[in-house]
Amino acid sequence: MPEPDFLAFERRLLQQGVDLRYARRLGLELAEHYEDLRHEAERTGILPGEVAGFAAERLGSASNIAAAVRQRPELRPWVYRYPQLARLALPLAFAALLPVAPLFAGINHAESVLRWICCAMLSAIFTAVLLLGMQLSIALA
Amino acid sequence: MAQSNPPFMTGIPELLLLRLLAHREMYGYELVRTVRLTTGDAITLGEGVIYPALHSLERQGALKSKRKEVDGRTRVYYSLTAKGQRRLARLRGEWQRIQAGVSAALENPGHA
Repeated sequence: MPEPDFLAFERRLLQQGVDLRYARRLGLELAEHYEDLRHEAERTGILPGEVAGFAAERLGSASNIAAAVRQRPELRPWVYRYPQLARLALPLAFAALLPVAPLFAGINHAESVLRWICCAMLSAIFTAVLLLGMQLSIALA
Repeated sequence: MAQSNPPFMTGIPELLLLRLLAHREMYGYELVRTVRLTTGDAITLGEGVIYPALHSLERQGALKSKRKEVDGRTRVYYSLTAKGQRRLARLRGEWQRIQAGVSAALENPGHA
């Protein structure tokens, strides 16, 4: 039986929207658990050729574990748990943050910065309205 | 995978995990082994699927975790928080109420 690929499992979890820190931790803990099961198999006298199979069977299939993760939405980031809120909040946050960015450049060029803020604010509002319109058209379709 | 338990087991693994972690901090493999030993193999938790349950309890504030290195191996140890203690007390009360009800029904099935 081939060794389980915990990195591939982590990627699979990330693709199904699991929070990065939980996906990484789950991969790490499963790898540790697998090692413990291998040691248990060796202690109990299981033949060397059957150790990997024993450990993989006891750990469970990647599909079963991934299904158990899917049943727990709290392990996903908030944008997956509250997609409606994310559709509204993200464009607004973008609109609010973009004009502030040039302030980090300093106040020596205040006039240019002010012009930049006005332009960025207008374009951000335009983008946010456009995105909201698109989201609404998707939601109402 | 080891023998699975029927659907009416919903909620029992959580109760067992909280109870064991109220006693002392443990890591995943240790928890699964302890459940097997203390229940005489009557309850077998899916070994890999225990981690989503632990992470979920941690996310809800019932558990906390810390990484420790023991004998050259990195382990994530889980322990109960005050919120977890309250949750354990509530789940234990619910379990005892259900257990008493089922026992009464099994012993006296004819009583309306």
